[in-house]
Amino acid sequence: MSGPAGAFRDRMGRPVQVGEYRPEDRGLLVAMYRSFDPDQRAQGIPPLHPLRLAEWVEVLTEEGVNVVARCEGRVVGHAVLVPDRAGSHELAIFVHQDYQGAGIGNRLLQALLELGRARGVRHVWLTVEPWNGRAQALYRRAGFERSAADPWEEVWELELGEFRVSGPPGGTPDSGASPERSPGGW
Amino acid sequence: MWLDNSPWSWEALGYALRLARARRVGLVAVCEPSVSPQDRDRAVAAGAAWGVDVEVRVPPPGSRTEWEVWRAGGEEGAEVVVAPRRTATRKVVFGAGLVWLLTNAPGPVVVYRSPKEP
Repeated sequence: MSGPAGAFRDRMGRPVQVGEYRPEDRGLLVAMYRSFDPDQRAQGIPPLHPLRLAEWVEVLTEEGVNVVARCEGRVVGHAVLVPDRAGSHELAIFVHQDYQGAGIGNRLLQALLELGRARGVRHVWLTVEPWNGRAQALYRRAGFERSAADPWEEVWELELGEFRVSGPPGGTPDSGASPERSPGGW
Repeated sequence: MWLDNSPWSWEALGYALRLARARRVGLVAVCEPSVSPQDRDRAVAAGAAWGVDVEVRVPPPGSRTEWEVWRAGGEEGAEVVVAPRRTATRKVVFGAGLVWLLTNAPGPVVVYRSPKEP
């Protein structure tokens, strides 16, 4: 991988490496989700129960295109594209609460979309809660557009041919964001 | 119950049928218009296999599935079984119709969750 993937320092100066998920990341990825702030779960994920959580991670990593952010011996972020039955891919992204607001989510998303495009993914969609403005800003920067909305959920979509890699490779692509917590967990 | 074409909805039908048999009552299956006549018959047959009378209702033109589920629940004095959609990442997605039903429910609503899903 090139571009957004690779090593950089986040806005807090921590060394972060973004790259494709490897099987040896599994334990660290599950550990990230086990310590994930339950208040930041979105639409039922990540699952709370440890067994369901392990099953969910297994499903995502087996079915999807996965990218993780590694920092200081931990996995601190995860983004995935999972194929759906309509031939599209659904996106989900989570950044551990200790690492939010540091530019990692943007790098993860850019790296995932780039990897997805290389793997032949053409259409990406996601659901997001209407009150999660920070997540929506992240998606908007990547070129997603809202295609449907109701009081609890919004659908955003992106044709990967229109996806643009943005931001310098230094972990500051979304500068100005404070490290506040974000429902939806990125 | 609210029956659509999703595997979660059909799994919820099995749950609703077990519930109905235990209570010795019938089941009203309000089918989304996209449920084919063959699948409506399949729902009735599934009920027969459990010894439960299944009455299929389809929203008339101009009506909405959630309104018919609401009406059926109110008329029958019964609890309603629904199954939200699960996306590829296993997010639980309700949709505007189900949200409306939950907000306006005439009685208890069981939001079915598959034990097979993470």
